[in-house]
Amino acid sequence: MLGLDHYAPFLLSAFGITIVVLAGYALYLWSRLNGVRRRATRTPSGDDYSGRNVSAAAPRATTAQAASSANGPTRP
Amino acid sequence: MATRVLGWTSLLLLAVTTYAIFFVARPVSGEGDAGRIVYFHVPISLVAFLAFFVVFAASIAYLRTANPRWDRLGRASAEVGLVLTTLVLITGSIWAYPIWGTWWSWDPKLTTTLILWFMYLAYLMVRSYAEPPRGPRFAAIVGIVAFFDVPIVYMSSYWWRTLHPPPAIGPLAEAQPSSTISQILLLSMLAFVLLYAYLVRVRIEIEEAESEQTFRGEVVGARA
Repeated sequence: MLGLDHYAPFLLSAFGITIVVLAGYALYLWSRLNGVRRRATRTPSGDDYSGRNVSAAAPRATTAQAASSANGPTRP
Repeated sequence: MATRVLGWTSLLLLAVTTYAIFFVARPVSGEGDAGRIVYFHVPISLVAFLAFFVVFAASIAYLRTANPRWDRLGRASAEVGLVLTTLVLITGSIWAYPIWGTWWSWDPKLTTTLILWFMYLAYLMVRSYAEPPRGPRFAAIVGIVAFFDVPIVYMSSYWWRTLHPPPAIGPLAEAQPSSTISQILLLSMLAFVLLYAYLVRVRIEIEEAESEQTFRGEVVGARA
């Protein structure tokens, strides 16, 4: 094998932690980058935007009386 | 494409470095196999210094030009530098226990390195929580001020002769290491520089993609 001495646990743990931290950080960056790219492909770009793509609710007619107006409150 | 090449090259070099550390390098006299930790502890610390120098230069450039590219570079480099400094502190502690008999000592080198770690943590917190355009500007000021600790960290073991050994390589090294040790240290250094460059590139790509999405969202919101 490697023929390591009694200090081997220290060497191996330092090396292992280095690998785990660096690999973990790289994986975190990749997953974030993939997430951003995925969202970018789903979101419509600014160029193909039009009013028809807006899923906002259309204005509805209401029977409610306005509480006040420019002329002051309505009287019965 | 260039990012991928950088990633694979750094991975290959890291594999070669690992082989050299475990199969080519000899145990350091008086330290045994714990001395092999130096082959990645020292290069990682030097690459962290490089990362903080990039933050320093990018911060100055950002304050002069207000170009968001410099801000992105500074932020990416600070984040990678902080990860590397974390590793420096951890691997240093693991090396210290069998050699000094303690995990931590308030030695000038260790203390100034810990201060460095906190300063770049502060940089990232300012950059994350302060609203633009103030956030990038404040962070750039922190990035410039924090860098002044880097030469103090490097010189500390030279100025104050305490527990931590003096610089192993470079112009301040008292005894130049053997050619095998130097070659492995340089190989390791090159591998970590490429890894640093790769991680910074990926981090910048994330920032760019996110800011583009935010911009698109604002355009769509404004038209609606």
